[in-house]
Amino acid sequence: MKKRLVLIAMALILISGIAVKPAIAYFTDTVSTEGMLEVKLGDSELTPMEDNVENMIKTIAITNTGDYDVFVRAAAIIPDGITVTMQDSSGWTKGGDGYYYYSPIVAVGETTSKLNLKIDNGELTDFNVVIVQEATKVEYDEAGNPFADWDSAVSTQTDTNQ
Amino acid sequence: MKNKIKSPLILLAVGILIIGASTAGATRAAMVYQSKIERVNFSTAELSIDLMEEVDGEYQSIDEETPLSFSAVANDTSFKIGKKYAENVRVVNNSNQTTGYSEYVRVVVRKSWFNDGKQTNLDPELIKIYVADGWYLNEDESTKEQEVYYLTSPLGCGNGVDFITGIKIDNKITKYVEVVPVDADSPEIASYVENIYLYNEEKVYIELQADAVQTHNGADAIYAAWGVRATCDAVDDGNIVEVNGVSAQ
Repeated sequence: MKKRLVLIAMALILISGIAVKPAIAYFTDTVSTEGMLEVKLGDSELTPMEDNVENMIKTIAITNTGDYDVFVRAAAIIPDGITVTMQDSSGWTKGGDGYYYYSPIVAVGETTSKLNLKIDNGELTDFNVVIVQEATKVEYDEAGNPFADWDSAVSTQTDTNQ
Repeated sequence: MKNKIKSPLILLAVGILIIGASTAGATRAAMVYQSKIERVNFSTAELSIDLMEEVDGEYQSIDEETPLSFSAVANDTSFKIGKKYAENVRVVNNSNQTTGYSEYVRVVVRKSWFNDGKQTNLDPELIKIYVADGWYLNEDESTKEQEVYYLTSPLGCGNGVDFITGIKIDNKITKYVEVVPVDADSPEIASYVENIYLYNEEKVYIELQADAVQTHNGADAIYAAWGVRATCDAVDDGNIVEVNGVSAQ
């Protein structure tokens, strides 16, 4: 009989414990949400250049057929005894590293203006001029200003045989 | 005695008397306790929290049914990698003005890459979330995927506070690239390559969870609700000065 009373008393204490807990809980609330953003990097692809040589002036234009906007540059690799001089090429500037840089962004599907390179072959009659064209994805700083990271460039090249 | 019990009239009379007495008592009690003088009206406090995102110049509530819209990114012609986009998210104490109180607030930011499931091989640290001043980042609870921020001062009832101010995807994602040679049909092309970006067509996944707890008996309430030991400069409505023994100021 005593055991039974003890059990009943314990059960009552347990029940009151459960009942008291919510009473001393703190006021809380929560809300949650989520969101997603897709990143599209695609591929940078350069088409064959419009490669043309007339009167020893090599004319180059580069088309962006990739998936995103790019900066482009080009270089002429020439043998000893040959000199190349840039002539009347809007948007193009010669860098100190042998590359010719096109300053505007080349959007998807757009083509650069023409880069005209005057080839002075001196007395050489048999030579190759190799044109290397490179593109790099337009990147942005925090303020949204575009810049080129040429360490991430992709390239194609064409040869001019004389 | 036997005769009295057997009489149905006496039994009926006694029954009516008992019922009548009990009814009269109940009526009297009701009349007493419904008097204006003794009536006591009370209600429990209500604590509520809301997340709001600025969309085209106006803040709107966001929750599980209304996700983040990243309107500045959506309104750009293309998603510019490396650019810090304005993304304004506020936390609002939207408790009932008559029954609400100030509240302590924390926000858990979870970020990852997603594409038919969580992409654990991609780096969540390349997703940069900019947070307004006044929030304390608890390093103990934070990982590459999760950041836990505490608002160090109580958020008053009806007030809001800026939380997220911007979002940026690090330029480094363009460095994870595989350059693959491609056969070109044109004989003029000596080499032709294709870039395959590891992060291409992956989705940035952001989850926000805002929690609120009462500011009365603040340190105990924070510990009970969030499991962190906070030190407040007052028992009620104080500023949080330490979290798990580390200064939050």
